[in-house]
Amino acid sequence: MSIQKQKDVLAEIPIEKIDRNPENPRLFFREQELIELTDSIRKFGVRVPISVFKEKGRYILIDGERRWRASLKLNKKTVPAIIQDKPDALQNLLLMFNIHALREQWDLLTISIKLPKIIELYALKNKVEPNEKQLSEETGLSRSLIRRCRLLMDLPEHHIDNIKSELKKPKSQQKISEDFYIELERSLTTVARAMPQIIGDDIQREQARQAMLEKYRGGVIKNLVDLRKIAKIARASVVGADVKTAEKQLKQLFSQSNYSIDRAFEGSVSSAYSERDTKTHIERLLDDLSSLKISDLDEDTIALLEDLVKLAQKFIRSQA
Amino acid sequence: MSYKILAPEQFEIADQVKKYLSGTMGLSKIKVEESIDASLDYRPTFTAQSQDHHLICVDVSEALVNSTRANFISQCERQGRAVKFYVAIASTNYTDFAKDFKEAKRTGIGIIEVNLLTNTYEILNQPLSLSLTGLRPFQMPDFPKKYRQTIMTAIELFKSGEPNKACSLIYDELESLTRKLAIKSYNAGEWSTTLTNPGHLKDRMAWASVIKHLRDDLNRSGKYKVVTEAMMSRLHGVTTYRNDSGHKSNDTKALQKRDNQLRTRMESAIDLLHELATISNQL
Repeated sequence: MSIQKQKDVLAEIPIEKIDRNPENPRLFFREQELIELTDSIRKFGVRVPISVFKEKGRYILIDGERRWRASLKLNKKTVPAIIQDKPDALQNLLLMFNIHALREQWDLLTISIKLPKIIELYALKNKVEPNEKQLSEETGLSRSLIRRCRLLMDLPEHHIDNIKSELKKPKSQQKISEDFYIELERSLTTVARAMPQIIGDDIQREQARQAMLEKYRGGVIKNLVDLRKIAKIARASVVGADVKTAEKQLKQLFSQSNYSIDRAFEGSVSSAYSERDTKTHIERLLDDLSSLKISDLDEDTIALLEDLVKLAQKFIRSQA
Repeated sequence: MSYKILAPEQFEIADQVKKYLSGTMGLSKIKVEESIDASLDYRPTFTAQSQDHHLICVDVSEALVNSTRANFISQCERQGRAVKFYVAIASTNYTDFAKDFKEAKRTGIGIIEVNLLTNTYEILNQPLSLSLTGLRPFQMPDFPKKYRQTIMTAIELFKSGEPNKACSLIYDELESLTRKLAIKSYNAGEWSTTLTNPGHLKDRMAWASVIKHLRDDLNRSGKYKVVTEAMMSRLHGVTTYRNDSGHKSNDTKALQKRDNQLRTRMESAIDLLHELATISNQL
């Protein structure tokens, strides 16, 4: 992070003189989490100072909005704070990102919404947009996390609203999660690349997105991991499955409300992937066995090998 | 309306609750997330003074019960604060509602349920004044069976905002027990004086006079030694409050003072009833 070393001062500051930072990316303050923090502060006090900068006789929060809110609820008069120099707009955001990258992570949507602002401010300062590596170094976020956030960044506004209204709920009650959209967008991107005849533009992509959302809400999709099978269907050619059949199955999946991912998968590429997996297992087993001596094997293993040979011979005979 | 402490997703419901407080409950000068005073380490979402001099506190929350709020309730009880505390919740699916509702009711918390779709409100539970709910707990098995129901009713009445009636119930039992004790000891010839109309001991003679006789004229050399002069003096002290319903309070301070006095009287009267009932059983 390219933030200059500043003169930090630790002090107890009046709680009434603190204002929230309008740039704080955090969108949601779930009550249950605030209650837990308030309980902790009531019992043990504020153990980690908040961070602020001074402006026009008041203090603006850089880090610690939840500690500040909890301390206010507890009617505290002062709160321990690290007072820093006023950062510029980019430093202000990067400070908040880095603090949270090291501690409790924000919701992915929170990061997604603020990332474009960081990219914009970075480009303004450095005359060039940051690449993924630079963005990772500046924000303290891992590159895989940035990639996940970028998938959310590109979602249409009404889907962002969907996620926002879910995130307002306690975690246990959230249904349409950020992870749903991340898994879905990854798969749809694969479909768009591998089968542009199925998803060739934003309209088709949105139709597919809506169809999958409805299936998820309606319980037709029960497991988020199933969404990865959509990408597997789109990559039919990689496992030597029939591409036309795969296309047909994807079309049905995106147009028929009760058509499940499992059905489309079974009807297109399931056996091809199974065969590939079996082949991979056999190759690995052969590799392992060829590196062993007979003295390495106990009686149980030899008995299993005999069963394996019998089964293999049965398959070979039936092929002949 | 902007809030500093409240989670943003609660703003809408908080605005509706504020309308309810000013409109339906007729409260004015509603303070938002302000300190009540330095000795209380809690800021409810709303506070306002009611016509009957209670401080109305309302927390807008997803949960009826949490330990920091419970700590504040206990603080108010210990300090004898004339506070009525509500929690306002949205009418949504609430996990463990029955359990939390029971706990809220037990601690005297009022519950306002807000329906944001229809803009309607429902009071699911009326709050109790925290200046009264802090009554010391009494162990019912310690009392003779015949008094338990009365004591339990009195405690319930006290906590639900009728402390005078509650005290009266206990005083009635004390008076009845004193008169029975007087009649029994007089008829047993244990008094050093003779009454013109001993029948008046049952009801016509003033309760204070009956106690005075028991204090001054009872022969304590035998089994009546357990009816001590000290106990009778304490009982005599109670008669001063027998018909005192407490002055009408003009402000919160006066209300708290009255409630605290009534709480002390109630606790002393129950203690006396316990002592008197116990020794009566021995006689």
